[in-house]
Amino acid sequence: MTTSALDPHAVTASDGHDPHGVTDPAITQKSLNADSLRLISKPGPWWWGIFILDLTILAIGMIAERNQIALGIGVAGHTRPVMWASYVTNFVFWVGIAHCGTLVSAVLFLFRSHFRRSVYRIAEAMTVFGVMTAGLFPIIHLGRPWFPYWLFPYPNQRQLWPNFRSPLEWDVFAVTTYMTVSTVFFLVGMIPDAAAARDRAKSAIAKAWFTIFSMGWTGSNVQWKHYYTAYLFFAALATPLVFSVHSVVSWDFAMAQVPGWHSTIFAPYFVAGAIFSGVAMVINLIIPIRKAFKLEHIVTTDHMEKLAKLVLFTSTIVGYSYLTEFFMAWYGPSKYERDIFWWRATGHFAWAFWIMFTCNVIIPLSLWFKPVRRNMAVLFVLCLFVNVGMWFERFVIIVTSLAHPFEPATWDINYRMSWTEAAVLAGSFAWFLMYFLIFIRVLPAFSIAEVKETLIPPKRKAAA
Amino acid sequence: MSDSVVFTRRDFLKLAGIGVAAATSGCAQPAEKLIPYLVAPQDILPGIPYWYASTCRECSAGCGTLVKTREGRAIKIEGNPEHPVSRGALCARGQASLQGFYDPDRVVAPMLREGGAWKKLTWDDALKLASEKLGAARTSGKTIALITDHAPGSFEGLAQAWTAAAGGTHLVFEAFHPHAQREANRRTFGVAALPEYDFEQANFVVSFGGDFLETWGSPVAQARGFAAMRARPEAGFVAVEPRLSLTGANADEWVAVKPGGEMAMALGMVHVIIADGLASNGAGVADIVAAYTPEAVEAQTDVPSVTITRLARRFAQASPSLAVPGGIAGQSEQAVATAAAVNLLNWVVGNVGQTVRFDRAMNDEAVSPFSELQRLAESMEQGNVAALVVHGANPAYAAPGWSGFAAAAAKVPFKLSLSSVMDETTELCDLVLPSSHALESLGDSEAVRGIHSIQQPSMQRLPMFDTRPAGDTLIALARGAGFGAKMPATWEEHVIGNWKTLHGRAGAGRPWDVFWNDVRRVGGVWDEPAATSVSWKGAPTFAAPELRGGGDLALVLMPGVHYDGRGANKPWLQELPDPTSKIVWGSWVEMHPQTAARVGVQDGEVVKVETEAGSVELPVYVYGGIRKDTIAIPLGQGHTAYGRFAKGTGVNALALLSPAQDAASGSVAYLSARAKVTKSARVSTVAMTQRNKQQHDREIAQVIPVAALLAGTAGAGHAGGEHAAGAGAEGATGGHHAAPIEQTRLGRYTEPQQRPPGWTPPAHAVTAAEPEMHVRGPRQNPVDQGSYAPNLAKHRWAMAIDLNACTGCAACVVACNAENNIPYVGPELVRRGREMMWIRIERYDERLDSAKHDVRFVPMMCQQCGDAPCETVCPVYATYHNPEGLNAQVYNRCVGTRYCSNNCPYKVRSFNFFDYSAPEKETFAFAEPLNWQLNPDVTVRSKGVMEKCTFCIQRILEGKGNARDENRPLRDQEIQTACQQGCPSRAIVFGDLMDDASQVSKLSRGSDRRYWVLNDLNTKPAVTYLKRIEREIVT
Repeated sequence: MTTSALDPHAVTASDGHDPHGVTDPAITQKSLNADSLRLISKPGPWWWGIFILDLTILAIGMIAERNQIALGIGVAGHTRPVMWASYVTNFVFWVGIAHCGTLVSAVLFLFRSHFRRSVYRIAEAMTVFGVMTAGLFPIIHLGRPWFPYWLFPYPNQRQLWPNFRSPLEWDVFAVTTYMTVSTVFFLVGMIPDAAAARDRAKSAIAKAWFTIFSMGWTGSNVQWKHYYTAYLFFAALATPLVFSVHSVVSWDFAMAQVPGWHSTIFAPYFVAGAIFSGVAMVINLIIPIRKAFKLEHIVTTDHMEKLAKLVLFTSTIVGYSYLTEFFMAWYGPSKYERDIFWWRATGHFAWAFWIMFTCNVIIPLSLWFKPVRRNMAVLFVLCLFVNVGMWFERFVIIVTSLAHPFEPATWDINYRMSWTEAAVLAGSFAWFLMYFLIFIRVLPAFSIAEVKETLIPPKRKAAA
Repeated sequence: MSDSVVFTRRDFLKLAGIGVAAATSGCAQPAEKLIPYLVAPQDILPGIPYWYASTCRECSAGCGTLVKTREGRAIKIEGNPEHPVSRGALCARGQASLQGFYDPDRVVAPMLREGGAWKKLTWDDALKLASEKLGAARTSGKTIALITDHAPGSFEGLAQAWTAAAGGTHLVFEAFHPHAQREANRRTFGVAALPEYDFEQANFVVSFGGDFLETWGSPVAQARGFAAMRARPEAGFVAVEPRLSLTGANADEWVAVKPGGEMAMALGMVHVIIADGLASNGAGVADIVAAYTPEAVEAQTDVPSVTITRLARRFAQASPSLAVPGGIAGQSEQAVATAAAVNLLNWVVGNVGQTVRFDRAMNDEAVSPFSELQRLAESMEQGNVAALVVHGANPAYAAPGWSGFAAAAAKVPFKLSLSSVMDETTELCDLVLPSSHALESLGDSEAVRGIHSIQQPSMQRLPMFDTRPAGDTLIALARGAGFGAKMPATWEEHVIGNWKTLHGRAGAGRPWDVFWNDVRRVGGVWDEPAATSVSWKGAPTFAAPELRGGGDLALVLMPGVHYDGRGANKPWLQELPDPTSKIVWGSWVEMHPQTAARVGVQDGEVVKVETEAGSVELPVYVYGGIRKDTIAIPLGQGHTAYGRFAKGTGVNALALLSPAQDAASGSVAYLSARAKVTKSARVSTVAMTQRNKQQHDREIAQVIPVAALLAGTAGAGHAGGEHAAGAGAEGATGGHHAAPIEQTRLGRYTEPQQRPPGWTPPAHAVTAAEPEMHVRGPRQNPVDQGSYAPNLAKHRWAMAIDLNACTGCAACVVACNAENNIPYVGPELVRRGREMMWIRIERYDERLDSAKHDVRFVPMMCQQCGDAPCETVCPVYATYHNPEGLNAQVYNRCVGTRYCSNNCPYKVRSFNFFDYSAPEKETFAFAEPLNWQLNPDVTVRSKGVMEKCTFCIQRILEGKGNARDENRPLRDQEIQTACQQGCPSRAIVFGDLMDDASQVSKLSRGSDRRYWVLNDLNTKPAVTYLKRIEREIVT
C-alpha cells in the first residue's frame, strides 16, 4: 500500500475491491462503467415476468384498500382493545427498512467505511422507496383516510391547528423531513453517475432523462470539489436524522402509557432494530441483483461480509434490548409492566414473540461464523428471517401490549389478521418492489464514481 | 403573471385529501336531505321534548313510565318518579320496549294465510272475514278461545266481557307467572295473592333461588329496596341456590344447595329456630319440621348443618328479616311446597306483616295457571274449539313443547292473531289483525292492587304499520260476529268509562276534567293500601322434588334479560352482555370447571345437552358459580319466528323439558330434568364482551370490610409513610379481608392483595408499587386536580358510583344506548371486539367457591379524566378538554387514528369500524323504523370516527339552558345522565363539583368509601367510585 492513511479516499484491501485489478473479471475503469450501466437496458422476459407479477400483487392490495375505504376500517382485524395492528406494524417496519440507506450512505461515509461504495446506491434507493411505502400506512390505517391533510399545520379558515403534543404529529414532521433529506441525498449522490449514463446514452429520450438527473454535470475539477463538499454536508445533515426519525417513531409507543410501550429504552432500541432490518433488506436486495447481473466483482463477497457483520452487530443490540426490557419489567415496580412481559412471552401471542426472538436474536448468532457470512445463499435466507423477525417485533410490541392493557376486563385475544390486511401488506411489498424494479432499469444502481476511487488510476503505458 | 395555471388551495386540498383513496367510492359523503315542516303541527315545538306518563308492559310488575317524545316521536322511556312501583327507574327490559315498538319486523297490515304465504288484506276485508268465521264458530256449538297476555285493567275486563258474550273461554297466559307461590300463600296464609316484599326494612335476607333483582316479582322496586337495605352495613343477604345468579352475586354468602333442596333448607332453618326457642310464631308448626334436623337437611341438600344453624339463628335474631321464595330457575315439581316452606320460615320469625305484606298484593287473579293452557290444548286436540284468538301471548314458544299447544292448534279451524309481530303463535294462525303497540294506544294497568296506572299513547300510530288497538279490534269482531250488543262502542270509551268509575271512587272531589288531566300527568292514581293481616293456616305436605332422566347433571333453566322470550326481538337486549357470562346474541350452558374438565370441553366449545325430551347444542361457559352436579341454560332464545333479531339466535332450552309440573299449582316444573352432556363437533360462535373476569391485583373493583368502615378512616389525616409493605404482610395471613384496621387508610385499598403465602415485596420495589402513600392528602383529591378552567367555567362535572348499590343489572347500558344513539353491531362484530356501548358493567369473579364467593361489578364509562391520556395523543384535537372538565369528543374532527383508545387506560372509547348509520350499508343498525328512535340531540356518528361517553352533554346543555331561561342557578340533580336516571338502585350520582353542596361533591370529597380506578396512573378521573361494603360472614 502506498496510499497515505490520511487520504480520505485511501483504499485498503479490506475495502473489498482489489486495486490491482486481479479480480476475475478484472475491474477496469472501462469495465466498471459498462458493468454498472449494463442494468440500464431493455429489460428481458425475466424482468417483465417479475414486474407483471409484482403489479398483480399490487393491484390485489389496492382492491383490498379500496374495499376498506368503501366499507370501513372494520374489514381489517382491529378490535377494541387492539386498535392498532398490522398497518402500524407495516409503517414501523418500512420506516425501519428506510433507515439503512442513510446509515450506509451518510454515517458510514463519515466513518470512512469504504465498503459502502458498492452498495450505497441500492441502500439509498431502498430508503426512498421504503419511506414512500411507510408513508402510505398512516393514511391506510385511518378511520377516515380522506382527511390525512388535517394532520398538517396549514392555515385554514377554521383556525384549527394540529395538536403538537401528539407523537403522531411528530411523526408527520419526522417522516416528511426524512423523506426530503433522503431523496435529496439520493439524487445528489447520483449526479456524476447520471452524467456518465447521459454521455453513453444512445436515444434522445434516455439522454434527456439522464440530463435531468445529472444536473449539468461536466466533471470539472470545480464541480468535483463542490460536489464532495456538498456530499459531506448532506452526510452530516442526514446523520442525525438516522437517529431522530426512528426515535420519533418509537415515541408513538413510548409516549403512550400503555404497559409494554411506555419505556425509555424505545428510541435506541428502535434505531438499532431499524438498522438491523434495513441492512438485512439491503442484503436481500443485493444478493439477487449481483447474481442476476453478474456483478460479484463489483459487490464482492468481502462487501457482503461486512454488511453481514453489521447485521450481527445490530442483532446483538436488539437482543440486549429485549433482555433489558424483561429485566426492567421484573426489576421495576410496575405490576402492569411485569404482567405484560410475562404474558408476551407465554400468553396467546407467544408464538409471535418467539418467532421474533428466534429470528432476531438466535438465528443471527450464526453470523459469528465466517463461512456463514460468506455464503450468499445462507446469508440471503438468514436475512429473510431477520426481516420476518423484525416485522414480528413491531407486531409483538403493538398487538400484545394493546391486547393486555390496564383493565383486565378489556383483555382480549380476538385480533386476527384479516385478508384485507394481508393483501395490503403484500401490496406494500409490491409497491416497494415496483419502484425498485423500475429504478434498477432507469438509473445507475451502482455507484460508478465512488467505486472508481478504489481503482488504480489508468496510466499511460510506458513506451516499449 | 399569467392565469394559465390556476391551482387553487382548495383544489390542492381536494387532491391531497383523495390521497391513496383515489378513484374509490368510500369517501363520498351521502347527500343529506332535510325536509322542513311545511305545515307545522300545532302544539309541537321543535327541539322541546314532551313527556307522556304511561305504563310498562314488558312484565307483570307494571312499572310506571315516562315516554319522552321529540317532534312527535317517542325516543326514550324512563321510569316515572311519581309512580309507586318504579319511582323513576326502569329496568333494561322496560327501557328496551321502545325497540319492540320500532321493530322493523312488525306486521304491516292485516294478513291472511293463503297456502304457505301471507297475503295483505284491507282492514275492512279482514274484519269481515274474521267476523264471519267467528260468527260461524259461535253458532257451531263449539267454543271460542281467547288467549291474551296479562294486561290487568281495562283490557282484561274487555276480554272477559268479549269471551262471555262469545260464549267462549278467556285464558291469560304468562309463562313465568309465579303461580306456585300464589297457591302456597293460599294454602299457608289463606290469601291467594303475591305479597309485596319489603327489602328496605329487612335486616337479613335469605333468598331461596328468588332472582328478585332480575325477573322475579317487581325487579325495579325490589332493586331499589335492596340497595336501600344494603346501604346499612349490618344488613346481610344470603343466596340459597344451586347456580349463582346475578341476584346471588350480590349476596354476602352463597349456599350452593342441591337443586331442589331449597325447601329442605328452609324447613331446616325453621327447625333450628324453633328448637332454639327463637320463634315468635312457633306454635303448632314444630311437628311439621320435626324431621328436618340440620343433620337430616345436610344429607338432603349438601349444605353443612353448621351453616343451616348459623343462618337460622341470624335469620331469627335480625328481625325483621326476609326469606324470598324461588324464581323460575328453582320451580320444581314441589314448587308449592318450597314456597310454603319459605312462607313458614317468614312466619315463625314474625316477618309476615312486616317485610312480607299482603296489603299491596299483585293484581294477578286473572292469570291462568298453566294447567288451563293444557286443558285448552286438550280441548283443541279433541276438536272442541272452533276458533282461537290470540293477543300478546306467545304460547307456541313460551309453553314447553310437551304442552301440545302448537300441535293442537292445527286442529282449530280458525285461528286469529291480534299480535303486532310475527311470533311463533301468530305463524300458526290463519289471519293476523295487527294490534297497535302499547306506546301508540290507550290503556291502563293495575298490576299491583290499588295502583291504577294509565297507559297513554305517546305518539301517533306508526304510519308504516297499519294497526288498530286490540280493544277496538275485539269490539269490531264482536259486532261483526253478532255478539257485540253489550260491548262498549269503542275501546277508548271503555277505558275512559273505567276511569270515570274510578273517578267516582278516587276523585277526591276533583271534577272529571281535572282528575283526568291529573291522571295523565302523574301517571295514575294510587289507592291507600288496605292493611291486610294474615295468619298461618297450615302447611302442605313437604316432599323433596325428584329430577327425571338418566343424565348425571341437574338441568337449571334460568330466565334472563329476554324474560319468557319476548325480549329477544330487541337488539339492545340481544347485545346486552349477560350479567354472568357477558355473552351476547345467543345461548350457552354454564358448567363448573371440574364438570367441563370431565366432559372434556373448554370455555366456548360446543356441547350437546341431552335429556329424555330432546337435545340442544350450545357453547359452554365455564363458570365457578355453579354446583358440580348442575348445568344451567338461559331461557328466552332460540325463536323460530319473531323477527330478524330473535329468529335463529340461540337455542330454546324448553325443548329439554319432559312433561313435569307442580301438582298443586299446575305450574311448569322448569327444574325437573337431568341432562347428559357430550362434546359436540360443531364449532363455537360464542360472542362475549368480557373474556377475562379476574382482576389480577389491579384493584379495579374495591371493597371495604364492614369493620373498617365502622371504625372510620383512622389513618385519614396522616396518610403517608408509616405504611411499610403492608400489602404483602396482609396477604401472607391468608385470610380474606382480615386486614387490620389500622392499615386501612383513606383512599388506600383496604383489601389485601392475593399473594402466595410467604410472599414479601422485592427489595427494589420501593415506591411506585405503593403510589398511594405518596399522594392523596386531603388537598390532593384527584377530582380537584387536573385541567379544567375554574376561572372560565362555573361547573366541573363529575360522577360518583356507589358499588355497594350497583347490582350489575345493566339497566344503565340500555339507557345509554337509547339516549346516545348507540348502534348495535351484531354477534359477528361483537366477536371481533367491535361492540359500541359507551358504558359497560365489568364483572370480576374474585372467588366463586361456594359459601364465600366474591363477585364485583363496576360500571365503567369514560372517567372524564382531569389529565386525560387520550387528549394528548390525538393529532387533530378531536378529543380535548372543555372548560367544565369534560373530555369532549368532536366527531367531525376525528380522522380515526384510534390512538386515543390505545392510550385510554379504561378502554372506554368505541370506534365506528363500519358505517352503522348509512341505510345502504349492510351494517346499518337503524333499519326503518328503528331510526325513528334516534335522539335528535345527539349526532349519529359516521364510519371511521371514535366515540365515547360525554356525560350526556346534551342533557347538561339542556339543564343549563333551562336554568338560564329561568334566570336561576342550576339545582343539584336537575341534570341527570341517562345511566343515572335509569338506575333502579340509584347507584350513580352526577353533578357539579364546584357546587360544594351537591351530592357528588359530598361523595367525591367526603365518602369514606371513595376511590378512583387506576388512580396510580394519575389520570385524575372525575368518576369517583365508592367501595362495596364487604360483610363478614358471622359464624
